[in-house]
Amino acid sequence: MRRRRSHDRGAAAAAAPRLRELLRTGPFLRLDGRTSLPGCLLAIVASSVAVNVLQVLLVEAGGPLSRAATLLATAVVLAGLGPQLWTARDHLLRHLADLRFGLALLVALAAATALGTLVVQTPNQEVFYARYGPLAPALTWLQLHHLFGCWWFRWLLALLAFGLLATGLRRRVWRQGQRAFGLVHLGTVLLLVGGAATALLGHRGVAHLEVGGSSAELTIEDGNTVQLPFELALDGFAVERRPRQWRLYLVQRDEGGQPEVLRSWPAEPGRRRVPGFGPVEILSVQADPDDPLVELALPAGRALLAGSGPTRLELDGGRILRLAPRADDVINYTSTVSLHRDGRPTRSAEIRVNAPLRHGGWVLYQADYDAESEQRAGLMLVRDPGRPLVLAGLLLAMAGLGGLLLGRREEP
Amino acid sequence: MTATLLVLALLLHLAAAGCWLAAVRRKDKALDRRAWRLLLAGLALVATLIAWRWLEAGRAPFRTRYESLLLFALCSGLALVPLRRGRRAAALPFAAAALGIAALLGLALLRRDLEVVQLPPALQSPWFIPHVVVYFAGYGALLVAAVAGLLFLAGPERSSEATVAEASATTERCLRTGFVFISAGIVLGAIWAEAAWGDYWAWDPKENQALLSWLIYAAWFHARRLRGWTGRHTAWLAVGGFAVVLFGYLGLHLLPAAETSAHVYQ
Repeated sequence: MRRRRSHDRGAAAAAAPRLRELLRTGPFLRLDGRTSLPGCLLAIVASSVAVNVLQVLLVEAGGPLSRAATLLATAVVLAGLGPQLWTARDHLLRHLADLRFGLALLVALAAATALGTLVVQTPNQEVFYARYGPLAPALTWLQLHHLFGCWWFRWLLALLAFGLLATGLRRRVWRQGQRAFGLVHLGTVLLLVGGAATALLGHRGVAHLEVGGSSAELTIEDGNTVQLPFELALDGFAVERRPRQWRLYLVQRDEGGQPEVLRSWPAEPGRRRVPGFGPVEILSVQADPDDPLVELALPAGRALLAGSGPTRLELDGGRILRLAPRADDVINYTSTVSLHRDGRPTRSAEIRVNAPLRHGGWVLYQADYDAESEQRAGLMLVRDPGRPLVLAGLLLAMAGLGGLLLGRREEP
Repeated sequence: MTATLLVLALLLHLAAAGCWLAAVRRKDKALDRRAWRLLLAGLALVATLIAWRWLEAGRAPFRTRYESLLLFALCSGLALVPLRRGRRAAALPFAAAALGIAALLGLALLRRDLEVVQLPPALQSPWFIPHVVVYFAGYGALLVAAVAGLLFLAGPERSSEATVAEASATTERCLRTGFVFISAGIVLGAIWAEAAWGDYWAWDPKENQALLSWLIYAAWFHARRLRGWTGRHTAWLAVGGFAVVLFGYLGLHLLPAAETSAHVYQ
């Protein structure tokens, strides 16, 4: 115990001058110091808070004057720090490439992801305040209502990209024996750069069109309108369905809540055992796809159920035998579209779920439809300049990871 | 009929676990071989159930909770097969894994489907089968890592050194394999999401959970190099990481954000 106390006193004595030096010169002049895991975590959290304060001041609070003052103050701070950062660039690179920094960043990203999963993400402030009550202002200040689009989360992703680049440069990953490691890091950087290109330069919006209607404009996510390089016309829309199948459902009646389905059988002749009730025999079925007629033999006598009614039979113990069609009958939705330029059709195609149309840098997806009329479809149009980078990044990272973890020579 | 086969498969896994436990106690290689035969017979039954379901539904049977539990059990069993080669001493991790698989089959028995549901349009994609199979292969390896990790944590006082060392080696090997497979699953899912919805990543709660578990395992790889995190640290990580995976698989509907997810099982 005595030895430990004297060790603690020694550590404190050694830390005191370092602390004085740190306070005198400021943290950025200590870039030549040793990288530590808590220090990295602290730096990541502090810089994220600073980025969040900037977002609050520049985007969400105050008028033009306070925004100008914030911009000016930020510019002054950056101008002051810039030369120091440039002088210490080698040390900065070493810190960013340090394994401790990588680990701290992964922990920070995991914590942020967990927060964004636990807290409901919604752009609707009223919904958010109704759900979180007195906590809502603090959560909103921290941007937890749209965490994955806020500045500080993007700052974490940017730090990840810088860290990966710095690691790649310092470890010279193009050398023999480092290539799988390099592929993982390069792939992830490409992925992040592609994602940034998508967020900054991409457009996305849904065009709702009646059959016979057309549009050359698209309202995108931020509410602005962009001009399309073609005029999009919806020539037809169809819902492809399976033949309608009717089933008998044994349902437990539930006061107030959702009724629970206990068993179900196809509406075909045969004997069924209904738990707690006894045998029920389907004697005959008139198989009309819209209005089937099912004749049942129950212990108490015969009964009829029909698609047009009666569709249900009360049993003992709050149980109900119900005739209903299956709900999963849709095979696919198909929009037939044509693209026009200068009033002339240039292309005609069908768009289905999982089968989008790619044209002129835009991708057209089947998004939704009007279930009542089935004469109106929602087509999502996406222009994503980051797509090739993201795709290349995913494949490179995967190839590298396979080599790194399943290969024998390289260690992660 | 399916219920009978499922019960039989469950009993075979329990019997395999019992044989392995007896093999550990008596150091009997014949019991070890018998346990393998029982496990393989149980897995063959699970594979038969999956194939049966495939024929019955006319589609890949990975749509509902029941169907995915069968796949999870099969993948976890298959994750054990490569571990048999090079195994030297104890059979305890295998016994624990067989019990884990039996638990999955028990859950499948409780969650049997009332009817065969069809695939909605978004799931009718060539990416559906590779994405799900690769992901569950990862889940299987991570389940084995977690049970071996649990054994390691419970081990030092009650087990021989060889058992503890084997549990540790099994955990590390399965974590590596599981990590590669869940990474591949995320990549395949992202490519599929772009084809179906025009977005590689939509920050859906399920996607977030996948990213979270990936980050946890990635952090372990870094910590392992930095601080020599093996043994107890690795075991804790395997158990904690799998708890996150399991929550994403079984408990996602409990999250307030679940109603916005496109991935919640029926």
